[in-house]
Amino acid sequence: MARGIGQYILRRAAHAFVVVLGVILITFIVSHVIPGNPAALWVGAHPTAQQIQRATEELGLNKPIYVQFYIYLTNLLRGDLGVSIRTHDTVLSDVATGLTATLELIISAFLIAVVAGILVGVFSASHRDHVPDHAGRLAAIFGVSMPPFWLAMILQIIFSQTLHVFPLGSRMSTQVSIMYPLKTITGFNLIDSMLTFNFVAFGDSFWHLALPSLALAAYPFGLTVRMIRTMMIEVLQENYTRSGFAWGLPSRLILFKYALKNAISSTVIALGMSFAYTLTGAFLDELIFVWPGLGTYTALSILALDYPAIMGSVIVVAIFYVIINLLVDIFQAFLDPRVTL
Amino acid sequence: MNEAASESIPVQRQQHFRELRVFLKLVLKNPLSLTGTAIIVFFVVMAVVGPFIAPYPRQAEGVPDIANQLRPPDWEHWFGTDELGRDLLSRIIFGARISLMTSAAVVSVAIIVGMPLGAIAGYYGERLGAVIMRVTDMFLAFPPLLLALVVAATLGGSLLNAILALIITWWPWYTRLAYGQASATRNLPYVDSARAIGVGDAKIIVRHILPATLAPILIQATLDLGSAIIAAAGLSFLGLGAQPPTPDWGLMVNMGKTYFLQHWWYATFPGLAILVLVLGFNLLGDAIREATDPKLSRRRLI
Amino acid sequence: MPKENVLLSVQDLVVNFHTLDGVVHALDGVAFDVRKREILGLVGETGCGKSATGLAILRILPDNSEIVKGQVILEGDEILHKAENQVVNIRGRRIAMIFQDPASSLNPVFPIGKQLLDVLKIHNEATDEDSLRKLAHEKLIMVELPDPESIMTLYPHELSGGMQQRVMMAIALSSSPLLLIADEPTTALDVTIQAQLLVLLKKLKETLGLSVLLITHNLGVVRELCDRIAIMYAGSIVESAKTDRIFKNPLHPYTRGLISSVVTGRLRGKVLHYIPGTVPSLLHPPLGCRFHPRCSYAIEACKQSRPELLEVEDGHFAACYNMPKEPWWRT
Repeated sequence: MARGIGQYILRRAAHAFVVVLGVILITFIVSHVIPGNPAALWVGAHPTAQQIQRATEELGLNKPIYVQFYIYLTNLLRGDLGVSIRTHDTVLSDVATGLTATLELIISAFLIAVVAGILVGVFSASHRDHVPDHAGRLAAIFGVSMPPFWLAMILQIIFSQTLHVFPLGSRMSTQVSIMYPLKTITGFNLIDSMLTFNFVAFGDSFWHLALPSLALAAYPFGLTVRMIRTMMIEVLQENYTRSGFAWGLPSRLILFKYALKNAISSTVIALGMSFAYTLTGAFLDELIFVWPGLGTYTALSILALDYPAIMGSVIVVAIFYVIINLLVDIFQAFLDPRVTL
Repeated sequence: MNEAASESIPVQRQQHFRELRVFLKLVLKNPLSLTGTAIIVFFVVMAVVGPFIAPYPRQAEGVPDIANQLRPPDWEHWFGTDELGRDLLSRIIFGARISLMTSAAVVSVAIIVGMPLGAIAGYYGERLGAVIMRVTDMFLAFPPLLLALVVAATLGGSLLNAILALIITWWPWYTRLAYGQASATRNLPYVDSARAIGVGDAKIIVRHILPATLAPILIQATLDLGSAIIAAAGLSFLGLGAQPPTPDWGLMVNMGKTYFLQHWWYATFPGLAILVLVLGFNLLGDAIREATDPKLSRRRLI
Repeated sequence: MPKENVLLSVQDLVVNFHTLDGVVHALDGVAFDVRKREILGLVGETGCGKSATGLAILRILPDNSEIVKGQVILEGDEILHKAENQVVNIRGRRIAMIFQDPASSLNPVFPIGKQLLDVLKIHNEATDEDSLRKLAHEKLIMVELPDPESIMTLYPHELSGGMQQRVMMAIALSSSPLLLIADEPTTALDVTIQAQLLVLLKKLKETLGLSVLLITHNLGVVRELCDRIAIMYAGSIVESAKTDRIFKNPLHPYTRGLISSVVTGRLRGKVLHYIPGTVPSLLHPPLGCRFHPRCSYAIEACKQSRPELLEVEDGHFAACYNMPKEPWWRT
């Protein structure tokens, strides 16, 4: 185990912390430029001047902006993200519910994308400039060029509407949720159903997860193939790959054990970024498949100008993204100890 | 690379020429990049002459024809019609102009803002550079479309606001790219010697630093032109971009969402247009990247 | 020379590289023999093709290369035209190679132990962890690395250049090959380390009964270490003989020029000697003898055809139509 890892982690964590503060600041600034009167929205239809006045005081909207920010920040540290103007629930609970659903979607999409992407990428790189390579590159480029919402709809039409293989949307069919109700433990349906031995629910959740994940996986798949291919090509040219051949190691070992590890350690950061793209792609994907996740929640909040909810979900997503990047950096340090120098 | 740096500028220019020729040879020989270029040219032509050859130009601009609403593709309407009876083919043709201009605007302004910032940050380094990059990092910390979503939402849905929102999201990437190149270039011997003979900072940045940052930025820009189209379409899809009756492709997919299960053509064709155009940019960009990446040279054992 | 004594025989090796600028005629009929238990020095300037020769023997040339013709015979077995799946058995087992830059020749994300063990696993019958581990330690001790236990846990970038090269040697020699190709093994290292490693190399040659093809541009090293020398220029061998023969009586004009160019203390106050002109581009090599444009002894025949490598005196080969007649004054 390389020595400098502990220090590296601390450095990256401190950096991430500063970035998160900045994110909160920027989000706050941007969302407070909202025209319109949030207090009026809060009160609801036909607000009286008095009601608006009271709401304004309650929501603290009459205080100077930096005070509002300070209040918000301190609340944030206590875990209080405010109350949604639209749903009148705490933003925290709203976000928590949506987050697990979205995570389940993103993680499955990402897994599909990365596994398939690595296989195709390695295959492509090892047959560079021959037919398999062109096919692989073409597949990657298609993946990356596909508007995610469009792909989702096409999949719906083909596999749902026409072939009736997969459901049209939502996370679980109403029938199953009534007859085989799923107990929520982690919020991840696949895991929860396994934990409670509710196999019908497992199958049903899986079935509902299929199309949305596939639609979402296209973009990260393309990115992964491209990155792995580039990295593998580079690695295959390195002196140490040549050494591997000179030592008489079989090429399968050289490719999949040695070269891949080198390629991946440089790819990990980019993979983290593709995870972020998957994050935003998820938003659009959720809308089409009526997936009850954070994306739908955020989109609805934005359209309703529900600024606590907007801020809350944006901050949560952004923090999440920063954490992912941090984990990616740390993971990369384990894979390639030279990074810590 | 260092040997090249200490040579005189005219020799460098010669080298750039030679590199350009080799590069063009590679790109044009590659069937993928050739296809990509062809696609882009096709759409540009469509944007320019489209309005003159579209079968139903006034419908494209929004004039409805209710009698013909939601007709499937047939000989009169190759791509079918929408819920207001407007010919989809014509609308898609008109939409080409919008898509191309949108992405060109986003990418070019993002470069104009981001590149000098990054160059300055990389050149001056130390405090100024650190501050600029810290701010850039904060913008980069946002998952790509999220910031655009929020900005577009606060500004209100319109094509212009969507473009603005995307510019705000996109500039940090170019700053970071330029920063990397600028920091590396700053330490090269010929920059030091320029400073030693008293050449002003501004001149150095313009003459030496900026050109060095140009190459990776242009490559990224080609790919970003495609991504910007998808991003703008995404915003339109959420209603945060172009508003009806603009024949914006993303907007059409959005409108088509309501009808497409029964009327598949409505969402399929505009989306297909997006796919093909973005494909074009990506094919070309990918080929350029492959051709210019010094690491992807010719030595291989497999 | 007696045939049984020859371990490796390279004959008429022609290799081209296909680059974006055109075809590079890198090797143009390379021919030499490596005998058993000898160190043969393959000497030449940068770009003359000596590294390519080493790579060709092991069949690890880059993808854009083309082996036009030639033969490489290892103990009577022709290996240049064998199929890939048969050549794999030779690499690392009967012929091994170490490279110029040990830092980049070891995989940076795997500890030394892993890399060494993987190679040992391939080449040895023993498959259990413990005996392999013991074997690994033995190999590391053989190259005079202290504390093999902790070396195994280190990553390549945590070792010094000299230690990295020793590790390379340990890995290369782990299966007791017949021939070690050492491609400029010490060029990237400090002079003091250089000396140590070369002494080690000589010792290993004795104890393992190994032959070494030492590829280098350093005449000093070659004089110290090698039994015989082959001088290479622009893709072919121009002279080969026993070491002291080469230095006492160099026959080829290039060899003479090369040796004269070496700067020693005795030249103090004298004009430095150099060979005029530059190494030719192998994209469009000169016709005939590739050295003739720079040679002060060139005659008409030199421009027409390439002189063959002929045995001029006992064991002393040279490829020249017009060898200088003046006796050699440098010793």
